[in-house]
Amino acid sequence: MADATAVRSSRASQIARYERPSLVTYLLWVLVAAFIVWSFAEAAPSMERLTKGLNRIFAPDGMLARMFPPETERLPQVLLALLETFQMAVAGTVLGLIFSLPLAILAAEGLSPHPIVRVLARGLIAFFRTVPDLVWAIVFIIMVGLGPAAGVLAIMIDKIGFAGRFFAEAMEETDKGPREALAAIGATRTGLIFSAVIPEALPSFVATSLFSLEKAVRGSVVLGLVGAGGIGTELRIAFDLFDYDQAATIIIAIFLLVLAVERVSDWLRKKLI
Amino acid sequence: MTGPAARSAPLQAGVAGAAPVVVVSGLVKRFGERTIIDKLDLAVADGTAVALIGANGTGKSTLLKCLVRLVEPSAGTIRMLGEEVTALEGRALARFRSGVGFVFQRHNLVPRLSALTNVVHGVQARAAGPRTWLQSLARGEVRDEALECLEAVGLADRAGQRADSLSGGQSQRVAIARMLMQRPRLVLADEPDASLDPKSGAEVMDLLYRLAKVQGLTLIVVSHRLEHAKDYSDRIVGLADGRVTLDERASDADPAVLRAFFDRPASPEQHHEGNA
Repeated sequence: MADATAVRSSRASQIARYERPSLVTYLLWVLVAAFIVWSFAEAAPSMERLTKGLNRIFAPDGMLARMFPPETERLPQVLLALLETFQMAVAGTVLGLIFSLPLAILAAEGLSPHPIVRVLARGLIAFFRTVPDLVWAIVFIIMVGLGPAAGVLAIMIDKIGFAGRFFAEAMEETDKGPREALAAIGATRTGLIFSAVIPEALPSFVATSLFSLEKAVRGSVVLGLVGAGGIGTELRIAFDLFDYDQAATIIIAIFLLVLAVERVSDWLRKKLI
Repeated sequence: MTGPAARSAPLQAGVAGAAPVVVVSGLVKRFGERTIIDKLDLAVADGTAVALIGANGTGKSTLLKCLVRLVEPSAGTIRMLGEEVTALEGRALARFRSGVGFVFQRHNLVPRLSALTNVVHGVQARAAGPRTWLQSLARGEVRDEALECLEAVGLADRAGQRADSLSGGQSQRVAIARMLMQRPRLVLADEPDASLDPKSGAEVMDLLYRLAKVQGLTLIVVSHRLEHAKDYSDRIVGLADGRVTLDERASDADPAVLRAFFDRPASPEQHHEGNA
């Protein structure tokens, strides 16, 4: 017994615990480590700067102290701006979802009418997704001017990129059996998409749509900071004028809106899926 | 209900003197270097129920799929329901397929939709548009017809139930109801009893046979169960090495001979068929 253990142990010791990396792998690791160190040196705040900054926030006359108590005098205007933000998010998301469905069908393998169409549709979705919504907002502000219309268009494009990808993947993952059965009896492409594919992908569509709305509500606040309407514009003005108590009211209002949307979204997801 | 004694129609109905609705001549199907069907000839008379038997990989499923061009034949001609199937393309092929009912090994229902909606989908063989997508959108007469089809398979009381809440046997019966909704003249069934327990499998085979007889349909069914092939057909056609090597009336078939067909291994190149 003891001999057997000894043999096992000696055999195991012949197997290296770690593989020696190749020269290329070794160099790559060194390069990655060097880049991380360089990034910290270039971009991360210095300790001294961080301490000064924290003092500015937490000092007795600092920003945090001036935020409380939050100012409620302009609460009606804040709530109206909040409503506008929510409306921007809803309108942009609904438009985005409407346009993303046909684009997702064109981009889905097995449903697209032609491989070239599929590649083009996928490319368009990827382009909409990779360009940040803030950039779209700036583009649309140039196009339609300052205000919520630019925000709605920016959210719409961002959501086409987001939902288009997930809609296409959800449809590709559906069971091919039902659509083959309908194809075998001579059903049209539209018929089998709407009869077999979409009903099966519906739970995934609902989940993606609700996430889109949550994402749009958070995103629409930031869009306001660059002038695309809503409460973000109010927040920027409050900070620009050093009205930190006003800013506190706005931040709390945003927090409550995002929380409410997430809770309702969770409830709907459980109810519908 | 499930045994030969329960059959409500005579076994040999439609055999004697009926014109052929399926004529296959010199059919060949190759997958690369492998020949699955090798110069196969077959004629099926109107109103006949034919059971196709053979060991795994002998070309039964491939033959059924070739008949409606779900698999493209390599050579040969197929004439079905008065159409030169091998010459059809595009819309003409889709129109031809709409007249042929196909029952798959798996029921292939849309799980989240009701049994009635799944049956309504069968109308897409002869109509298109949003009113064929859901039972709630369908025209009154289409809903009535779908319910009649469900009644024919004994599931009218489950019309509103979601397909994923039905048992395997019930789901296969709903698939048969969907096939009836096509109003087909000819039915091809590829092992409709394969994924079911023995009792449900026999019920499904009995249902298919009875419906074919009552509605005067031609039925070609593949089955891996000897007793089903013998009990629910008028004629048994045995395939070996991609050719017809047995063809006789079901009532005359010797079970021992049939058993040999199921036991006979396919040639190595034909084992590919299962993946075809």
